[in-house]
Amino acid sequence: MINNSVRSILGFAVIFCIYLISLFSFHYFTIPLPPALIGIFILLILLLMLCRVPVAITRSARPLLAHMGLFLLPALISVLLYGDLFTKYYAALFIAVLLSTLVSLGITLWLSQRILLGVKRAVRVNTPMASNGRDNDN
Amino acid sequence: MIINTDPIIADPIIASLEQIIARFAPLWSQDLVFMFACLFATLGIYLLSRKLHIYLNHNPLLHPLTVSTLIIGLCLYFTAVEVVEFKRGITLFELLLGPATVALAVPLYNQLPVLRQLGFKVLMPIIIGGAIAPLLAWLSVYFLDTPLQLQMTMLVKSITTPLAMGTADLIGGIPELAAVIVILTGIVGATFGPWLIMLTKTDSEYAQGLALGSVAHVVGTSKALSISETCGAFATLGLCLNGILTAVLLPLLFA
Repeated sequence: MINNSVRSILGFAVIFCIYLISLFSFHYFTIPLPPALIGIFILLILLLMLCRVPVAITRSARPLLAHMGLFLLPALISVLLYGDLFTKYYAALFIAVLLSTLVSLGITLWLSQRILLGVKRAVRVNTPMASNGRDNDN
Repeated sequence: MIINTDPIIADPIIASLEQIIARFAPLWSQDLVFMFACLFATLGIYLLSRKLHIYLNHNPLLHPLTVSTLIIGLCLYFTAVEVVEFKRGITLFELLLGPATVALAVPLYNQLPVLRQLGFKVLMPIIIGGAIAPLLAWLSVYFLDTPLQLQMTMLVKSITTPLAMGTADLIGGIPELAAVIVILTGIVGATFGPWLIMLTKTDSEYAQGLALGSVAHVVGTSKALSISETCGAFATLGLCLNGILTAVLLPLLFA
């Protein structure tokens, strides 16, 4: 139990340090990418070098991903500051969000079906983190 | 002392560090009682909305984030607390979004063998979905004569929220508005996804997953997981790759 907690904290410390490094690189080298994306690349390269996901990283990534919604609330609350924008452009937003999403999802589904027609069930699918994302809500 | 003697080399480093510290500053430069009250209230409302969502069989219309935002909005209205002040109170959650996004590398790494195996056949649907969705959304706001900021914000609507916010910021959009539009897009995708799957007669789980993940990001991915594990795995791949491709390409085109 204690061992697992230590692993989770250690994993979080590693992820947090990667995020700090990506923030620093973003400002210092003025990289035109969102800082978190730079962090994704750094962690992905590390995992590729290790050829596996350390238990500590999995243990800390799981709750972070599952509760990402909580971390998005500050941004969503800010929408209360943009109320006038929503009332002014409600028609444009309605069309852009509802209609364009429906049309693009429909087209993507139809095309994907045709592209993946020949692919049989032979593909080995990795689902460990995908199943953990069941509770993910952002 | 060394830093002061060589200002040309040291200044950018100090400036970068100062910018990073400025992000964390609200944590120690405000009333701690108020900060913890805001944090616990938000946590409570979030957990309550999640319970409600699970209790009501994962109904996408009652998504925990929309319900939480509405409850918080009402609470702020009745307690007369300023939105800006409350947002400052929950800075800790905002700061944790960064590491949470970095953690997306883990599911992406887990899906890499699928990408290696299927290659272009997996990439094509993601590129198509990732291009059509923002293009159609942008066209609709462009022809309806909306401000440039709103048009730029629309371009990031199909990628996962944290990346969408960072990208919107870089290309001249509004990060907070991007977060709302992205969540709403996800809800629309997850609500009408099963109906569209029937309409387009898409019986391949791979195609369903890739389309849901690349157009409706994480909300679509959780819908895909309710269809099947395989569908969810492909949706994760769609979500991660579309997020990365869009977040790399848009700043290069518009920043």
